[in-house]
Amino acid sequence: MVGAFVVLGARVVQVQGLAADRYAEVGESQRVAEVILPAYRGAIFDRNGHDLALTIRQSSVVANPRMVPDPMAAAAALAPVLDMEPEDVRDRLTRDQAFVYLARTVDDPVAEQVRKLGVPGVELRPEPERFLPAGALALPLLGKVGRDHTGLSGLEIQFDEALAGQPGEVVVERDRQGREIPGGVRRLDPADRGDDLVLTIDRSIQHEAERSLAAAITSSNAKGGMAIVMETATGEVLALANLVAPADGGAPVQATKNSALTDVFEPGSVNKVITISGALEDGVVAADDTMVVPDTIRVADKVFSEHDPHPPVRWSITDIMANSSNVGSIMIGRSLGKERIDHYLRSFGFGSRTGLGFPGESGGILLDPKKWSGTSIGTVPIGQGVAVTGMQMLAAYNAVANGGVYVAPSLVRATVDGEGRRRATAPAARRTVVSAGTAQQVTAMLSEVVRVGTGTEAAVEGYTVAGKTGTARKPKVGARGYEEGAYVASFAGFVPAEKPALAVIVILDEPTPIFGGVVAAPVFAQVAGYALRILKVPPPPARTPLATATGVVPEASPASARSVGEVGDGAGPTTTIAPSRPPQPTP
Amino acid sequence: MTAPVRARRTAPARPRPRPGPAAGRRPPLHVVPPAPRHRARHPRLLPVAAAMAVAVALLGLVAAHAALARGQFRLQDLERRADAEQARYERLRLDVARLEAPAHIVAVAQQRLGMVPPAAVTYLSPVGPSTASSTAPPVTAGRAEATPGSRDPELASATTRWSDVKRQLGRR
Repeated sequence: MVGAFVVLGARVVQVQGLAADRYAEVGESQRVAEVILPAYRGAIFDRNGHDLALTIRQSSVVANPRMVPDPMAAAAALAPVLDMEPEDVRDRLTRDQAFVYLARTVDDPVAEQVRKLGVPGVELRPEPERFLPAGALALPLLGKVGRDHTGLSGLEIQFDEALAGQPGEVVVERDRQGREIPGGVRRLDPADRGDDLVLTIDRSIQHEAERSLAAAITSSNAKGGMAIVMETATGEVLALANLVAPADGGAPVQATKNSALTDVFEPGSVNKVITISGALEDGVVAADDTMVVPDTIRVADKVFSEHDPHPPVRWSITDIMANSSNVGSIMIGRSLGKERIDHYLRSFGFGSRTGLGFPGESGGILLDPKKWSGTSIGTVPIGQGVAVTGMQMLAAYNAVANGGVYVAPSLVRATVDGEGRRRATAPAARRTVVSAGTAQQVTAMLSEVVRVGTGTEAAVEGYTVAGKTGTARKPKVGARGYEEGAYVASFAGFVPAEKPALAVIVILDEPTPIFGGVVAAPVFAQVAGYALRILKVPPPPARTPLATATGVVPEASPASARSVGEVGDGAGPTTTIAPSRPPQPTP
Repeated sequence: MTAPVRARRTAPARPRPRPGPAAGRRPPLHVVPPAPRHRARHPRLLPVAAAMAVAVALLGLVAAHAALARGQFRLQDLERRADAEQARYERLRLDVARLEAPAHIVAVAQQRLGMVPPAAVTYLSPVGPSTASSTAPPVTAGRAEATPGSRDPELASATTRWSDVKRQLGRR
C-alpha cells in the first residue's frame, strides 16, 4: 500500500513537476488548431458593374478516413450522390490518412444531400470557386484560373497579384466536438480580399460582337475571326472578340488565346490609310491632287497590279482610297519615301506594343528601312511585308478618328480594393501623329470608301461611316512566300465620321468569299450599329458628303479579280486586294 | 447600620473600625457578581460564514464562466449565421449575374417570348414647323434632305413636322 502511494506520488511529481511543460504542450497541440482563411479572389466587372468573373464559396466534401467506421457502407451511400464510382470513394476512405478530398466544390444540392447522409468522418468544408456567370463571354480576354486559384492566362494572370488577396489565419482552442473553448486561445488574422477589376468592356456590346462575328465565320466558312470596338476619345476597348471555327464543324467557339493582341497578320489594304495620311501630312500630295493611275506598276523586279484591270485613269487621292488602288498607293508611297513611311508606321503604333501589358502581346513586325529590299517600297505601302495585331491596326484608325491624336488602348478602368476604395487607372497615353487637318481629309476619303467605294456594306443607316476594306494574302508558315488561296479579310473604320464616337475593326481568317468588303464590312455595320444604339449616340443631322469620289469604280465580280504571280523570290510577292467596281473612262 | 465605606482609589485606605453592629445581627453577604463581559452568542457562525463566502465566490466564478461560455457560444452562433448569410448573398449574386447575362436574356427573348433581332433599325428625325413651307412632305426614314432658304441649317435639313409624325399633335 505504501509502495503504491510512493509510486503514485513519484508519478505526480514527474507529471506535474518535471514534465509539466511537455504535457501542457501536448495538450495544447490537441486543442489548439490553426486554420488558414482563404483569401477570396477579387471579381472582374464590365464597365457598368456587371459580374464577368467572381469567386464564391462552395462546399468540398472531405473525410478523415481514420474516423469512418464503415468505409464500404459510406462509399455505397456517397458514390451516387457525388456521381463517383463506389470503388473510387472506398479507396479514398480506406487510406491511412487523416484527410482526403472526396469531391471539390460541389453544387449546393449535392452538399445538402451529403449533409443529410450524416456519414461519420465525412464533412463539408467551404472553399472558394471561380465562376463566369456570363458563360464563355470574353473568355480569351478574361483568362482562366487554376485549381489553386492562381491566374493561368489573360487578365487573370496579368492582374494575379491584385486579384489574389492575402490569406489569413485563425488560431482557436477547440474541444473534441470541435466547439471553441470559451476563454481559450484565440487569435484572428483576417484574410484580405483581392481587389476587383473594372474593365472597359461593355458586356452587351461584347455579346453582340461575338454573335455577329460567329455568324460571319459560319456563313463564310472562315477559320476564325476577331472584332474589336474602341471608344474613340478615350481608347477604352468596349468589346474584344476572338472566335475560331472548330475543326470538326459546329458553331464557332472562343479562341484559346487573345489573338487580337497576340497574333499578327499582314493587313493589306487597310494599311493604305497610313501611306496616304503620311503623304498628306508631309505635303507630298494634296487632298485635291490627281494623278494618272495605270493598271500595273513595276517596282524593282516585280510587277504590282490592281485588283481589277482598268485602263490608265486620272484619279484623285480620294478615288485612290475609295477604290483601294494598289498602283495609286504605291505611287504615293514612292513619293513619300521609305524613311517617312517607316516613320508614320511607327508613329501610328506599329512595331511596338500598345502598353496594355497583356500577357503574350505582340509588338508586330516592322522591318528596318535599311533592310528593305527593292520591292519593299511596293509592298509596304499596300500593307504586305508588315505584320500587325488587330489592336494595333484599330488604334491607328482610331488616331485618324481622334483628329490625328493617337490614344493608347486600355482594358481596365479601375480597381476596387476590399474596403471599397476605387482607384482609376491612369489616363491613356496620347501623342499627335498627324495634324487635325490631315485627319479630317483622310476621314473624308474614308467616308467615300463606304459611300461609293469598296466598303458600301459597312454603311450604318442614319450615320456616316468612314473606313477601309482589306484583303491580304497570308504568308506561309516557316517558309517564304504566301499561301495559295489563303486570305485575311478585314474592315476597319469609325462612326459617325462627323464626330467619331467608335472605331471598330473586323478580321476574318480565310473566309469565302475572300473580300473584306463582302464578309467583314457587314459585321462592322452590325456591331457598330448596335453599339451606337447601346451608347445612345444620336445620328448627326444630314450633311453633304465630306468628300466626293469622282472616279467611282463599279463593282467587279470575284472572277475578274486577279493577282500577278511571284516574280523571283523577293521579300514581298504581289498581292490581290478587295474588289472594286470596273473603272470609268478617264474624263 | 451604615454601608461599608468604599475605599478611595487614590490611596489605600486603612480600614476604620466600624461602629459595632447591633448586637446579634450579621450584615447580609453575597458574592459580588463579576463584571459583565462581552461574549459571542453563536460561537460556530464564523467558520460557516467563511465557508459560505468561499462557496459563493466559487459559484460566482462558475456563473461567470458559464456566462462567458454562453456569450462565446452565442458569438459562434452569430458568426455562423453571418457566414451563412454571406454565403447566401454570394449565391444570390451569382444567380443574378447568370440571369442578367446577355446570352440568357437573348435565349429567353427568342425561345420563350418569340422575339427576333431587328433586321434593320430606322431613325426618324422630326423637327418643329418649317417657316419655308406649310405643306411639308411626309416624314421619311433615314436622313432628311436640306431645305434651301432656311436660316437654321439643322432645322432646314429636315422637311418633316411633328404633325406629320404625331398626327394627334397637329391638332393642338
